[in-house]
Amino acid sequence: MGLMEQEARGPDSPATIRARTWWRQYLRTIWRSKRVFAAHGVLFLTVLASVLAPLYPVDPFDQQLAQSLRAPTLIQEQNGLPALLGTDSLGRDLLARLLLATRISLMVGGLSVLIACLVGTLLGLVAGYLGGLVDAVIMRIVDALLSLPFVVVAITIVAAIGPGLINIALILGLTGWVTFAKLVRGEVLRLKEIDFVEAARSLGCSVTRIMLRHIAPQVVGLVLVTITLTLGQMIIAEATLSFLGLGIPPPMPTLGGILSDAQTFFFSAWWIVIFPGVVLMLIVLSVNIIGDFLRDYFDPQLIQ
Amino acid sequence: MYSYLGQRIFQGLLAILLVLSMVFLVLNVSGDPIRLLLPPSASAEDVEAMRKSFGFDRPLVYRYFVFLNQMVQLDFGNSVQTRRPALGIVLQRLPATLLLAFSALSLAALFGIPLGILAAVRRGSNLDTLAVLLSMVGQSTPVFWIALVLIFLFGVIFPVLPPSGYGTAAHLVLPAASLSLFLLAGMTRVTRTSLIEVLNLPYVTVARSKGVREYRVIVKHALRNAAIPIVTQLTLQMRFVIGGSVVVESIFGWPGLGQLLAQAAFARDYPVVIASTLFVSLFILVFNLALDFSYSAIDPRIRLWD
Repeated sequence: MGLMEQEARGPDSPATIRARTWWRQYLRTIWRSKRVFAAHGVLFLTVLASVLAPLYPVDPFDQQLAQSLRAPTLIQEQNGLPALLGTDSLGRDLLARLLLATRISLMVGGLSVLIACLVGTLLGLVAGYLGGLVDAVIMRIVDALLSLPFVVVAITIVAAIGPGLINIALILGLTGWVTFAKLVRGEVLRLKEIDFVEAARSLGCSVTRIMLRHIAPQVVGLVLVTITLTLGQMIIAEATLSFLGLGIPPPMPTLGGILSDAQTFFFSAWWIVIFPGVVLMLIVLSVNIIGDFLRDYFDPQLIQ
Repeated sequence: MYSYLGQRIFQGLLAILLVLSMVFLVLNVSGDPIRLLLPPSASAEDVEAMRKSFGFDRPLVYRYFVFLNQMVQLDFGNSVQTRRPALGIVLQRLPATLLLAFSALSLAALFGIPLGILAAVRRGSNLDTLAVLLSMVGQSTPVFWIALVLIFLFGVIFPVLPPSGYGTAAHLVLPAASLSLFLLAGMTRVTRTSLIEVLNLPYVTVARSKGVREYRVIVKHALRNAAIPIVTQLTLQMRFVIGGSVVVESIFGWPGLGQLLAQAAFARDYPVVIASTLFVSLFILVFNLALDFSYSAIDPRIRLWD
């Protein structure tokens, strides 16, 4: 690494200042709308709670059959904390299980979005820039997957490779990349007609360099928006699969799995039905609000 | 026109072929369901005999062509669970799913479009805020949770509707309502956005300044131009209807394709999985094709073929 580059990363270098200003601007903008601010707050708290989940002193796997289906209470039991959100049919603490389940939801969601984003952005860049046969083949696959219900495709593949945390993340990622590919390709088709790409080409840049250094940075905003909007879908998809018993197998708590168990105890235990659903809805709602906000933020022309 | 139709059908079938091939590949790379079917105590010869009877002892490429040949003939083989032909099982389930899907879609259109229109016309009012809120919440709530809450409300607290089953109109209400809330949210959102956009166009101002009555401006002038995105939304939503029906049917014990698919996937009964996937895809293909042709009926400027 040269001296120049080292200097370029110092605390007061232009890049750092630019990043700092960017964040300041961003924070100032989210203040303006109560809804957007609340969404950021909820998401931040959810992430924080799921990171700190292991610190909660109640074991989410600990079965206390004598304590089964306890309603939410503030009264302390002789052994430790009160069951703030009640217990499930096996006497496991619902709050502890929800914390761990949220962590898993975010992990699977994040991992699958990451896979979808990498695969989709790359294929979208390639399809859009190279065109021709490559484009035709990639877009046929994209259209095929987009014409079918996401959940049906995922279920069909689960039937083949079986459930499990990594399998689900892989399946969701490898079926969800099409949205990225389609959007990125469209943007690349527009960008490659602009003069700066022509300039790079006439300067003798290689195809890879033009794609990665000149075009890719221009689609970052679009990709970030798509990441956010896809994350909500992935979290719902994982919950749906787990609810159907095709996702992450018990005893691991998942929001979908807890709700699936709740079906049996409808008549006696409302808290198992309500709380996991509310958590799930709040996460997805705030992610979607942030996604909509980012779309306007990166493309000010769209604001009306 | 016929060449356009042919081209679209060809594209659709190609899409289905791609998905089926993918499914075939995944299914065959990841082992066979024989082990799941036989008790752990089954001898090696039993496993081998079973494998032979299902054709798992042949090479992959050979099996792929056999598979394609079967697909074309709609011969999916027998269900691994019940030993009955998968095609028959699937066809038997189809009407229930169609009933549920169209009920949910009609409910969503019946309530979502008027709500979207009202929200767009009274932009900024309390009603508008409510509509926007509803559409945001509706699109962020998983279908299965809506279903659970509705059962809880109308099956447990106010027991007025049967919480599960099939047969009478009362049985249809809860499943269709749970499925349609998500759709309704999307429908409201699209109608509202599309109509707001059109209402800002100069021709609407012209109509108003001519003295055309406001409801005629909206219904006759604006709505027609705002209709295309709404129809497109219907096209997109059929995927969600079918996806959602998997969950809703499982919860309500609705004997349709969705429930069948979930059960078959759980048992790894893949003749049935493939047959259901194929029929679901065919159905979506036909539905979307029909809607595509309605574009030029709504807006004569749109010509899908030359």
